[in-house]
Amino acid sequence: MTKRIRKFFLPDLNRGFFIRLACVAAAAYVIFGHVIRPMRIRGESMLPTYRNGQFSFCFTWKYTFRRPQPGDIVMVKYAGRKVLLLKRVVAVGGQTVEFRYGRLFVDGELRPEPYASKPCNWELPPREVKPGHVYVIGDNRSVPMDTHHFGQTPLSRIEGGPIW
Amino acid sequence: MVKKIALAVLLVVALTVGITLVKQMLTGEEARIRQRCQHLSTLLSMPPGEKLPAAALRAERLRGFLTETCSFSTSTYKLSRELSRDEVISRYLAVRRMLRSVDVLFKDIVVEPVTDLEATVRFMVRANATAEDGARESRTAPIMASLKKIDGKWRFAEFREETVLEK
Repeated sequence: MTKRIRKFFLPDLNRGFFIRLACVAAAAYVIFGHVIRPMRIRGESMLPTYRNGQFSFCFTWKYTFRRPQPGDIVMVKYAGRKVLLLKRVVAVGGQTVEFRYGRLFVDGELRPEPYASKPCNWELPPREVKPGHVYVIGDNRSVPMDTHHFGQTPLSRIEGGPIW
Repeated sequence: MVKKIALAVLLVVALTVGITLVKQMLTGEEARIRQRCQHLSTLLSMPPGEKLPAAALRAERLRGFLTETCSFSTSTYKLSRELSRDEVISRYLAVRRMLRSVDVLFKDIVVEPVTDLEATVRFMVRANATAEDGARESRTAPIMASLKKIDGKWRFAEFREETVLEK
């Protein structure tokens, strides 16, 4: 048993070991660097769905074969590749978005939002989402509208979505 | 066993050095631009209690980072115009006089070379400032900057605040 443990932690440095090591390193680089990128959530704009300090992974291939749909949680590129905004899609290109008495209306129809449980008093005149764009908002609507980061963004800025 | 550990350590060191060298060779110009950005953020920062001569020296060094004219476009401060290098320096010194300290950080820098003499950089700027009266303010913005290579040095020609989400 001791021998097996020792062999596990201090394996023979032969050719097979180096090949295995290279394969594991390459796979880890591709998977965690490009496909499912680890991320830590900062801020409270997605409360109560996501808390500040929570850990998740960004699945970058999520929208390779389909477009984000209303209700999806997406990650929007902020500047480079590392800082992302976590938001929920509420409307897609061609639809109209507005807030009346703190309630979301898409194409003039009231949209039930069970995920946005906090009280809201936002008022936003109707605006059309441009083609090739999605309208994203955080779930935490209890903050003043001016300080909440939301709006329409091009699909090219969508980096992916969280795994959980 | 000691020999094995020594070999493993040697291997890790050799791999790290090798990867760094290859990366440096492949992305030499990119690394230089990235370094330039980091240097600029250091120059824009101001430690508390910095004396005026030191600030003037910083401003002079800042001159070497800009092209003859530099254009600024930011929706946050409603500024959209081209400024000469002297104007930038004088505005920079004026802002410094109003502040006790500033901490500027460029994060998540992505370099996109356009040609051998032009490049585009995207980064997130985070600035924490303390005014003379002690009031504190923190701002974060996504920036797109254009650089030109003049006399062998990368100089900033444009700073534009990117609109990520349009209300």
